[in-house]
Amino acid sequence: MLEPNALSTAYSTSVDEGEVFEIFQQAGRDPLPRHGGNLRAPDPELAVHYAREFYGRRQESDKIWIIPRRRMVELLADANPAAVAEQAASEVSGTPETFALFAQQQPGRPMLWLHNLEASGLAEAEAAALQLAREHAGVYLRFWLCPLAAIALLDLPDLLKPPLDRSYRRLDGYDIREKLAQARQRVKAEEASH
Amino acid sequence: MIQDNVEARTAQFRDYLAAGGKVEATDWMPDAYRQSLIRFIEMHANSELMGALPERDWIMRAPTIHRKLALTAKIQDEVGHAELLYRLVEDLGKPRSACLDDLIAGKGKFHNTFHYATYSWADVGIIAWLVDAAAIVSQHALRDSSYAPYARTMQKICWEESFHMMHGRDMIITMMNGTDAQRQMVQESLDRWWPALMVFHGPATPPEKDKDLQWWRIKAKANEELRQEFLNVQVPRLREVGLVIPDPELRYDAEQGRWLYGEPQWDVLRAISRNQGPASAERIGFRRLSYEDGQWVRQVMQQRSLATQANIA
Repeated sequence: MLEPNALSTAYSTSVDEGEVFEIFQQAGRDPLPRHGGNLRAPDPELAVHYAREFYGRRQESDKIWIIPRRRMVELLADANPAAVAEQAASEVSGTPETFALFAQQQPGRPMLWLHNLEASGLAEAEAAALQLAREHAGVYLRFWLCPLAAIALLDLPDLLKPPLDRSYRRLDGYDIREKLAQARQRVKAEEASH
Repeated sequence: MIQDNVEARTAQFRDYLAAGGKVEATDWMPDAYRQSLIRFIEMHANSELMGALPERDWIMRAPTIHRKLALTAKIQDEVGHAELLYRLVEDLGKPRSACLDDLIAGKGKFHNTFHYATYSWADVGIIAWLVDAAAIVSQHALRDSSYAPYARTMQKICWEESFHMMHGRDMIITMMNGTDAQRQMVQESLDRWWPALMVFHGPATPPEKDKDLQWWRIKAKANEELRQEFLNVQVPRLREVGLVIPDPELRYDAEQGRWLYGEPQWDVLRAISRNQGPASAERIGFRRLSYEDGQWVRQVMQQRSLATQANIA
């Protein structure tokens, strides 16, 4: 049912509304950067600011990766290696490069960054990913690959962890216990007096 | 031959969903599933965007700086949710600009509670507490949606809605601890909003007739089940602070294990679904005005985008 598909060609996007960026985020509790979603921005510079507003305004990210979708390739873990190699060879020239490898390990779960790998071009990187899938049969469902150079990193504490009092943006900024106790007392007293 | 193929594939797809299968944006899907997702998520996105409007009216009238900051942050969240959801719709094939065009032309649908006018600061608290609580019940269930990108987006949205609910409950309890006039204002607000909350989750359609639920598993729970969950949690919370729910027939029936209530105003909901609710025209008009006001910003962004694309090419 599932078919191999390059993310960059799977969607029709209209150029005049900007391009789509895939967003990975990592907070203290996350062992690895995980896919948060995506956004559309007019250019890479604004994409960083949009990412901060959409994925970091409630201090939920220590680190955000912003990656143009056109640089990202999707690969199913059970894809036919020969067919993948043929397609990759037609797409990208074989220059040595570092790639970031992401994987989905459970249905419906977000993509996680796995590790970086050195390869002489996308075809070799894809072959390495499929090799990994064969070595760990049943562990990986699908992969994303992008050149490491395509990732813009946002980790400025001033933007992601502003040192101001932002209690109204935090769940622990609301403490209703005392107020609630007072309200309950009042209701009880009124009931008793009736 | 080709038709047979599509039907066989669709049947296979539905078996896959029935077994709890998850669908990603790049997977093959039947066109009917895609169209249902677009309709469902577009309405959700429209609701987030339109939901910001009644609250926006109160930013300048917030009683303290803290409430003003919190309300502004909530409104930013709601508009942010709209953007995340429009992105899902775009990836399914309908551009955001088309969704916004439909919305300001009065063709787009949005949730019933945003078709009403607001009259007092208590309305802001009741909306933040109860409308968001009702939404959380629906959205929690959507975390089990068959469409995985939607389910994952719900995780994020639910987390942010929980702030809104706390913010609203904090406001209402504060006012209930205040003067008689404040308590009366809150009670009047609850009286106004309760009928809208009772139809929030939609008619008690039998699950087997709800295609979004039964066929496509876009939703994971039936409308009535969601309403019961909402009542279970919120009725005691309202009563414990001294509020009276304006439905004399409302009571928990231990035998049936469910809440019984007076017949909700389905005729109002039907009118609203045609965008003929009490404040529909005003809201859509205001959205159109904002859209036109923002035209110059979109133009600047478009030029930036075209320049960037030219550089890449």
